[in-house]
Amino acid sequence: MTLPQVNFLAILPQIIVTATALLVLIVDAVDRRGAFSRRALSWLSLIGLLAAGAAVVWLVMQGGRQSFQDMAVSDGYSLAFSAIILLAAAMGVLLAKDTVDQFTRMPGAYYALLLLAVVGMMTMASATDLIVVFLSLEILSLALYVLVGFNLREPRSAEGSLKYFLLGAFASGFFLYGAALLYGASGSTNLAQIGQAMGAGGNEIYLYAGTALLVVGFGFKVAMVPFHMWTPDAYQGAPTPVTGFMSVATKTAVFAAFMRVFMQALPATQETWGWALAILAALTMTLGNLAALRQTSLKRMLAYSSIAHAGYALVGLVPGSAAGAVAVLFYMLSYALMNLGAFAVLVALERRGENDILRGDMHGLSDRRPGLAAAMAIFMFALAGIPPFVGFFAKFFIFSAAAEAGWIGLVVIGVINSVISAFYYLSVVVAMYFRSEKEAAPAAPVKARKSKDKAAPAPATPSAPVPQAPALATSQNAIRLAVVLAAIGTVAVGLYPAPWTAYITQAVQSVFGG
Amino acid sequence: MQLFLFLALAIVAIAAAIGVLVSKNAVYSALALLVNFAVLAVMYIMLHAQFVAVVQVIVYAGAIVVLFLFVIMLIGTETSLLAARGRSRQITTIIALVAGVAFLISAAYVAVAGTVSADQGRVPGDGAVQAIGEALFTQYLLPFELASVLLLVAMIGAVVLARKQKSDEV
Repeated sequence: MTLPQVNFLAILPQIIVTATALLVLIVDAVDRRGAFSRRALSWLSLIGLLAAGAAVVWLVMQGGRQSFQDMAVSDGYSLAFSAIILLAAAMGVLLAKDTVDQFTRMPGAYYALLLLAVVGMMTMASATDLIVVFLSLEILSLALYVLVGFNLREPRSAEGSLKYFLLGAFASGFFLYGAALLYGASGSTNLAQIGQAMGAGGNEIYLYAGTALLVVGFGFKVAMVPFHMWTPDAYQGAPTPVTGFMSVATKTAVFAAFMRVFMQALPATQETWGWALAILAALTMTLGNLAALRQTSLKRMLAYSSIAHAGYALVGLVPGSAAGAVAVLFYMLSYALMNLGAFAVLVALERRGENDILRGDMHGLSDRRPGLAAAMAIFMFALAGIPPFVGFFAKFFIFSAAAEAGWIGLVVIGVINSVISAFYYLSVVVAMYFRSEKEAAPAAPVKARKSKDKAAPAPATPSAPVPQAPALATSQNAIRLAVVLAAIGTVAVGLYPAPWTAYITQAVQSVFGG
Repeated sequence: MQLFLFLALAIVAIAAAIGVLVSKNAVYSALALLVNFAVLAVMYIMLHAQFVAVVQVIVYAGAIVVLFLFVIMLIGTETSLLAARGRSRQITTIIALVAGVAFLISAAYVAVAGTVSADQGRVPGDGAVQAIGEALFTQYLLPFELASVLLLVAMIGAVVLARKQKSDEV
């Protein structure tokens, strides 16, 4: 037996992040009581993520395609997705830095799981083999199940975690079954080889059944309707930094693998899955936006909005073209910036023991914290897709890629949905700027307010001062940094999208041609 | 000889599988499952896949069925899944029946169409541990390492979730 030549460069960022996760665990275990290590953990994680980011940049500069035994590759495509995932993870760490002690006594495990989830996500973006796709999908899912349930005192956290876990395990089964059928049809788990075998005409029943099962598996992870049931509960129950991280990073990683699998292994059946995905995308956008309209909890609203955004991104995948892939990649970048920004604002506003922000809490925010309100307004405009912010170009590229391929009806549905979504995004802005704090519901704790519909009418003296719980974050600095970074990104990429799209186009074309 | 052995084993396996479904007591179901797993292990040996056979006994028959039994005994046999009766149970039965028949048809189709032959699944070197180890550390090195990361995640997760939360703790 000869040991193979392995090219560790191809998985260098993953190796760095894994090593960081192990280091975090060791530091946490060695120095349990020390105040030093508590603070050091977040810095350590950030440094590890930055180092991985540097590795990604270095690999981009090297150019070309590094392959790890044809199981995973590092090419422009996977590196671009990895960069977005690392960005989301860094924001997740920043948001947790001063809040993590409020929802857990095990910050070491929190950071380690977050970093290992990142390993799974980056591997997923670079996987070229169905086995690797499945294993990395499991790594990120397992880490996220636990992260969602991290707040042991909060029953909703456990509820969301359990729902996510049960349905997620089911979806993993679907994915594995689909992968097995494709293997049966083509005799290989390698994406390129599956593509070749299918192009030569394989067993059609297996091909279609396998494709359908893969759609279910991927669709669950990106919260596609009708596989979205877990999303609102998991997003609302999870600690808010986790929600921000998972909403962005999971979608990015899964869409990376989704596109690579479908465009590289299954181009033979593009016409069929194109139609199926188009229908799912239309459903996802419409249902996500309509449900988001009715939410009073901002976390729940953003959960439904993230379903809707998965629908928009899916539109880019429908034509199966390189232009569509470019649009999806750009969409993920912009979604990372604007959505993480919005969640960062929520973390900044959150109060201890509440784990949620209601729309009423936003009333008069422009008077209390003008900077935060302005940032939130930017993110809401961007999410609604209003120029000049980044969300506009993201939607524009998606819709133009779909229109180019002749999916006019789908584009119309998408545009109508953008208009619907503007209602609920802008209502947040209206609440912040045009409502005074007094108009808000009496400032009782969230838990009391939840049952107010059934209980007797609110007390006649709403002006009675009710003591508010202290802010969740012990210090606002890290969160401020996150908000500012996201806001700058949202505006800057929106104003100058050209360099980003140029790089993304080149990266995608190096993989998919076109 | 082989055909006879196969038929005998197949009958036992099917009988055990039916036993899993129809027995009223959940513990009997688990034990029938154990029989089914053991018979499958023998079939793997007939296919020259000794390693898979051993793993089947250790992991499925050993670890997983024992876990089933633990859970059943913890929650009590009376209150276990058998409590679901009536209409919902009928619907489940019908769905399972349809799925099973569809699976049988597709399996028969494969056998007839001959797209997958028995030789295709045969591991080189008679399924010896050596061949599998070699494949794991050469061709499947990355999946192997990823599996270790996956186990690490599961371990940390179990520690986090199983930790008892005292009421005065933050």
